[in-house]
Amino acid sequence: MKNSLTNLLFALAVTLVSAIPAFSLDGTEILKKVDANLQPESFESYRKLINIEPSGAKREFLLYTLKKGNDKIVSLFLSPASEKGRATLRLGDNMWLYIPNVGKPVRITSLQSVVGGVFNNADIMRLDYNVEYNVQKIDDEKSEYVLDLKAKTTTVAYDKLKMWVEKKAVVPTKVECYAATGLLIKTLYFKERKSFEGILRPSIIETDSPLYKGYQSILAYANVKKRIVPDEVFTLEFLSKIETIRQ
Amino acid sequence: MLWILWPASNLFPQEQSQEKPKFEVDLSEFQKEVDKLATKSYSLGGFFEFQPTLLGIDRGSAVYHARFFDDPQDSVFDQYNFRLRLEGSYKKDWFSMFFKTDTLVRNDFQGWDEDTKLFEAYASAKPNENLIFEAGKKVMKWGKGYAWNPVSFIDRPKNPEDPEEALEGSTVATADYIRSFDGPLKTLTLTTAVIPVYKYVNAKFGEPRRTNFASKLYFLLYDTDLDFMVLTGESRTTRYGFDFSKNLTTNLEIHGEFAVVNNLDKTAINARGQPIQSQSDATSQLIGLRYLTEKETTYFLEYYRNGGGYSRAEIKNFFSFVNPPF
Repeated sequence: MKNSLTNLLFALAVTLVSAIPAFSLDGTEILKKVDANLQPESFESYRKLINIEPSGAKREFLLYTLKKGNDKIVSLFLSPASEKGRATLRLGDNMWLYIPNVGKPVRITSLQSVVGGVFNNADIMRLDYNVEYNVQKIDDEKSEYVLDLKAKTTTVAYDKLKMWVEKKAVVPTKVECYAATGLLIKTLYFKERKSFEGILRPSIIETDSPLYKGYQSILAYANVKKRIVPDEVFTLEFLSKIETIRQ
Repeated sequence: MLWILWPASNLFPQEQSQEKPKFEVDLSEFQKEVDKLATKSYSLGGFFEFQPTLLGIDRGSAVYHARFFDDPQDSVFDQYNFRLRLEGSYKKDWFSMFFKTDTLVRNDFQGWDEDTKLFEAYASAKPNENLIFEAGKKVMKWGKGYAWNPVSFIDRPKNPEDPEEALEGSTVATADYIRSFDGPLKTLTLTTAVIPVYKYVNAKFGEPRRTNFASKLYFLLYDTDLDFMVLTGESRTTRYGFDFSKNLTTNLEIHGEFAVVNNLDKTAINARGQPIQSQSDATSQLIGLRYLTEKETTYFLEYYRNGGGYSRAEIKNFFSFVNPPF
């Protein structure tokens, strides 16, 4: 009798222990790790944005980007010549665009796209995912986690994200972006891992959208390096002078 | 090795069900492109533009009568504009210089005309992250409005017939003090400017042989841009201004401006064409909205009250004076 009870308790304990890992996954910690692996907290980088139309015509933009902490990011357009000198600044939920021929920064929204294509300002000036989203659910699927993310505020560009994260490298392979209505707005694909500052990070992000059939946009990264600049670089007054601190 | 797949639909007819080839990025070529850019301390660029224009004149309007009373014109005329814009910059450590020139060659019913202007040319020094000193000819675009800016105390007024005119700066010396904070107040910037007015320096600004001072205090407070500005001196009367801009939702922005100009001189005419001088404080206001649709179309709506403009009666007097002879 005693042995039967002991065996029963042991079997119950084994069952519970094998079940625990599914509940002990901390989605927030995984998301923070994803952010750390995608880019350093404060860094500079060069990026090429390519917009491809259904006809095959493409437009390329070269950007220099500085990011600091959770909520500061600035980008400067280096080419083509028609866009050179244009700059965008993001401070938390605030975003501005500076066009040299206008001569002053104007407020814009994250839903706009300053260069057209499938990427919008929220994609190009992206803050860390854990800053803007909470993890609602996490599924463990063989070699990947699947995270369901919900925007923390109504000012975030996408209401929900569905993120596939490779377990081994803890980087996303795909992110689906949804509106509050459940409409799929776009899908991001993270590819071509390269070593940046000793960590293998995706160097290419591709996107397409069911709302823009046949259109594709690609964002390629180069020279991703840790760099800390003063907070004052991320102000309206400095927006026209980013070129002077570019390295 | 470069490997690009061009969409096959460009060369051959295709079935709808065939998958479109993907575009591949050559990362090594991209890296070479970046390596070239990273080392330059100078830049030089520009553009050449040819713009043919067809203009229509309302020959029944008062403005036409006033402008062409002794030189009648056809109702439609063509104009050809050739524009060359050059700009360059140089930077070394915390010192940098910038210039922008504009050359316009125009041909219309008045013949050929050429005009070359130095739009901007200034030097900038940033000894630390909080201070920026600049001197030279530069634009200082104050205000949040799109069509009108009553608080734009320093820059040239906008000219609907020549939008490029507002790109020419004024000769100033400025100092900016910038601070960033955590919390509801994220940024504070104090801008001060000295604006000299002499025969060949800011000649159109106002009374010559005078020095003027302007200042602007900017806050980013609770995700709202706020500016307070003032201009004083003897070339123009003292004036005060305020503007703001804020995103109400992810696709709706609101902005506004308010300006008070002390002792503004105004010249109007009565119905007999006699000039009438007056002087009074003028208050101008602007309020506007900007809305972005799901299809990425942006709509602007602005209401502007020009306190220094002409009243209904004064405009009526002008038209009464101009129209009867015709």
